[in-house]
Amino acid sequence: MLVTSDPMIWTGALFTLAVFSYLYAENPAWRIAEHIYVGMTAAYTVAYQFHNTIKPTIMEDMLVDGSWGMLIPMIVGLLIYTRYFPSVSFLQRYPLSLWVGYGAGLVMAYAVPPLMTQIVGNFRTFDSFDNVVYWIATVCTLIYFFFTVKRTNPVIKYGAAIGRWAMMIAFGVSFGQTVIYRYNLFLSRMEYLLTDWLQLIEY
Amino acid sequence: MLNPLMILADLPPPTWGIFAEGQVIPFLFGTAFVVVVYVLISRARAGEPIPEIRKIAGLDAVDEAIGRATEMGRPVHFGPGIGAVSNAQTIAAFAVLGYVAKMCAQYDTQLIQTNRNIYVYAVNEEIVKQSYLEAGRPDAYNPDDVRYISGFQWAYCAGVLGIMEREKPAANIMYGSWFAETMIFLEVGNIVGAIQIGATTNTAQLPFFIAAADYTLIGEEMFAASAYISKEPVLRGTVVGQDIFRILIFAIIIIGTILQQIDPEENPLARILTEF
Repeated sequence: MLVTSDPMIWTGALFTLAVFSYLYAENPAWRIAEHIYVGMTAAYTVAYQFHNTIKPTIMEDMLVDGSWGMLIPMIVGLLIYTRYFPSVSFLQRYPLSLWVGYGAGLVMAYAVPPLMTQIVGNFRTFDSFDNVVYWIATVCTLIYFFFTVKRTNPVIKYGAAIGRWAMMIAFGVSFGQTVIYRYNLFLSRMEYLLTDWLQLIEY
Repeated sequence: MLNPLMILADLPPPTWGIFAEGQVIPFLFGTAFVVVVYVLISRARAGEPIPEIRKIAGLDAVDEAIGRATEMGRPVHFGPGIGAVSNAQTIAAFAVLGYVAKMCAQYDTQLIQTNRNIYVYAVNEEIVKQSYLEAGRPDAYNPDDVRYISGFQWAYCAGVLGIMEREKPAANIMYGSWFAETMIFLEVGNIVGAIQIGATTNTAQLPFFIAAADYTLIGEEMFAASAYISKEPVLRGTVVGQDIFRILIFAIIIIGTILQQIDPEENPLARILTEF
């Protein structure tokens, strides 16, 4: 058996096995993999942000190009650290408010036009079985999400029940598709172990 | 090379001088929505009556889950999803976290709150601290129980799995924008014997919640639930406003479909909604 001598592939294979070992029970090998993974992502984030955001902004945008306006978002961002100083910790709310406001504005601007297209998409001609099923499922699912209408009216009561069934059938289909996709991920890992690491399979 | 001026030359003239084609109705619709929600929020704040939100099945489960954790002497885990702080689902999770934290403080049950997003972490820390204060138990608040794990999805997932395995929460409440980690969290929650409540609008993950969680809030139910739980006027007004527009959309679909049967080629309602 020809096992690879590449240390990177060995590292990948051993970590893959350590993670898979969780399927038997929580154990020290899994725990080591977990902590290294979490720690490495923290280190990677710091290094990535420093080299790709902080350093070019200061060294190029500000010092070379003279874009001193960059100081404003920088100061706003730094306000998040005021949380460590109780007397001025209220200042951390400003960057957070800015971020939430930006998100809300973006949604308001771009969410409504596609909604019109979706509404018109439900104007179906009842000339096929598919169209009838589609329309009933959509309308009944909409009824299911009426929160201020009591379900004593038979139209609302049975409409919501059909809507629930329609959603469950759709979720079942989605579940099946995702399970198949997860199998693909597992097979991809097995391929890595058997081909790249153990070199049992050759293409 | 494509000249931007050539693209501009082909654009139809704006409606009323300011709206691009097909943007008038969306603008009016959005503006009407804002006005209706504002009126409802104002009424709710003033204590005037607004339509009641019906109770969502599964809401009692939150109380049941915390009660169970208290009886067993084990912690409650609350995950707000992996979405950004500006995500509507994350914002809905804030209200529920406040409620859960207050309940945990009252019953002296440990609340473990894990985060993937640094901004969400900062907000959640404030919420939990404030909830313990409102419950009259500021001394019971432990800052180490609100935890930032990692900004990376799978590292966050691995970290939470480890925490759940080691600290064995009796209740796992997953409320927010969840993605591919959903099933893994639920599987580990099941292994450690936690009662599990899930809520998300991410349709790709809902099947997993329905299959593996004890209670699931489907889609918009999570927003209604957070309004119902918190009794917060802003949330109540927003959910009721959304419901009014949902009923309006329902009516438009019914009318549009009737018109579609009359003349499938030229539906006037479809034309107004897409072209005007």
